[in-house]
Amino acid sequence: MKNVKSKVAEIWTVGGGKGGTGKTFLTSQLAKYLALKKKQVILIDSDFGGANLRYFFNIKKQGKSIKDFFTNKEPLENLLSHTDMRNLKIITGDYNAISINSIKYSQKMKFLRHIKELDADYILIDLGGGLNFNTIDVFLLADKMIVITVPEITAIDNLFQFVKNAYFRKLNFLFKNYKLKDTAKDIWEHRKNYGIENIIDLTDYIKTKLDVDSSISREISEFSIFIVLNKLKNPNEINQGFSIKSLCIKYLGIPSIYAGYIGFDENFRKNLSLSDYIPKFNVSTRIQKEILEIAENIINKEQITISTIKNA
Amino acid sequence: MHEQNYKKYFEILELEPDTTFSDVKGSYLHLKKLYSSNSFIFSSLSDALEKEKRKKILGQIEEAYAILSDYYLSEKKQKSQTIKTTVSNEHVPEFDVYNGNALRLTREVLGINLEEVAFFSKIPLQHLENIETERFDLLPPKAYVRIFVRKYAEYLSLNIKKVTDDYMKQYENKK
Repeated sequence: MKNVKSKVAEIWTVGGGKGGTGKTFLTSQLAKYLALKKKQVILIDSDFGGANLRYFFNIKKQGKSIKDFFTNKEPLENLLSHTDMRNLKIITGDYNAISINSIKYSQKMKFLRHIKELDADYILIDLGGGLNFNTIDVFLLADKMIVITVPEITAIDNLFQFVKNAYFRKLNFLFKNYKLKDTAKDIWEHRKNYGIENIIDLTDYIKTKLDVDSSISREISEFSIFIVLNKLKNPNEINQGFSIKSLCIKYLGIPSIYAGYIGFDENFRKNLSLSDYIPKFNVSTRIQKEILEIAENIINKEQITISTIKNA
Repeated sequence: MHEQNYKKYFEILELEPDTTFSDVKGSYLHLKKLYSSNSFIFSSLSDALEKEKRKKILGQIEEAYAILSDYYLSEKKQKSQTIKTTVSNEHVPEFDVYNGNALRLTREVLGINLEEVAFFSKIPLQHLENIETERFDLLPPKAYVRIFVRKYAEYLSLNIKKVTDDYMKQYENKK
C-alpha cells in the first residue's frame, strides 16, 4: 500500500524552559546530522524572542523570515533559506519581528497546520525559553519532543516546570477533545473520594476505571520526552540525566528517555565569541560523536544506560 | 520463566526488558541513592506526600532488584556450569580464602564488569585490575589498598571483614 501523501515529515522540537542551555546548538547539530544521512531536513527557528539559529549556518542568501508568515501571510515554503548543505533548508526567525504574546490564536493554529504540510523527511523546530503557551503549543506539535538542560539547579528546575506545563496542557487538550473536561475536573476536585493523590493516579484512573474511548489512553501514553544534558564538565554529572529521567517517570508519570549528553567545550565557547568577524563552527570530533549517539537514540527511541556510559 | 513476567520490574528500574544485569544493578544503585538522598532535584516536584512516596518508591526498587537479580542468577547458572564452586543461599560462590582470583570469580558470577565497579566505587580501574591480578608492586600504599578492597567487597555484597583481612594478609606476605 502506498501513502496518499508523498511524504509525511517527522517533527522534532527542542525546548527546555531555560535560555542558554544549548537548544539552538542542539537543533542545528541534529539537523546537520540528519542531512548528512541524506534526509531532507527543514529547520525552523521559532524562538520568537531571540531568534539566532542563522548564526549556526552559512546562509548563502538571506531569504524572508518567519515574520513574513505572520505579517505578510507568506506561505512557509516561500521562506526557506538555502544553506551550504543541499538537503538542509532553514526558515529563519527575526529578532525584532514579533512579540510572542501578540500572536493570535488563529495565526498560531495556521502556523502549526502549515508546518505539518511542509515537504521534508524531518522538520526540526528550535524553541525559545520560557513557559509561554505559544512556545508549549509548538513543542507539543512534535512526534519527538526533546528537552535540553545543563547540570545546574535553576536550569533543571525550569526543565521540570516546562515538562510539567507541557504535559498538563496536552492533558487539557485531550480531555477537551474527548469531552472529559468536566469529568476530569470533577474527579480532581473530589480526588480524596477516589483515592487519587497526584497526576499519575488521575491519568491511571481515567485510563482504567472510566469507560472511555481507548484512544485517549493511547494518546496519554504517547506523550514521552527525550532528555539531553549539555555542558557537562565532570563525568559524574552524566548521572544527573538518570535522576531527571527518573523523576519525570515516577513523579509525573511521563515515559522518558535519556538520549545522551554533551560535554563542555571551551573551544566552542571561544568560537561563539565576538572576536571573530565570522563565527566558526568547528565542532570537535568528541561532540560529533555525542551528537551522533543522541540523534540515533532519538531516531530509534533508545536510551543510554549506566553500562553504555562507562567508557566515557 | 518468561521475560513478560519481569516487565514490570524492569519498568520500575526504568530499563528495557532485554538489558544486561550490569544495567539492572547500575540502575538499582543509582535510584536507591537518588531516592534516599536529599538532592536538590526533589525541590522542583515535591508534594505533600513526599516522604511516604519516596518510601514507597524505595520499596518498589528493592523488590524489583531482588526479583531481577534472582532471575539473572538462575539464567546464568543454566548457561554456565563451568564455575565449580559451592553456591550459597544467595547463589554467590563462597571461598575459603579471598584473593584476587576469588574476587574476580565472584564478580563474574554476578555478571558485573570491572568498569562498573570502578564507576560506582570510584576506585580507579587500573587499581581494580591490579587488585584482581595481585600485582602488589603496582598498587598504592597499604592504607589505600585496604580501602579499595573494602569498597570492592562491599560492592559485591561480600563479608567485608573477611575479604579485607584475607586479602591484606596475602598483600603483606608477598610484599
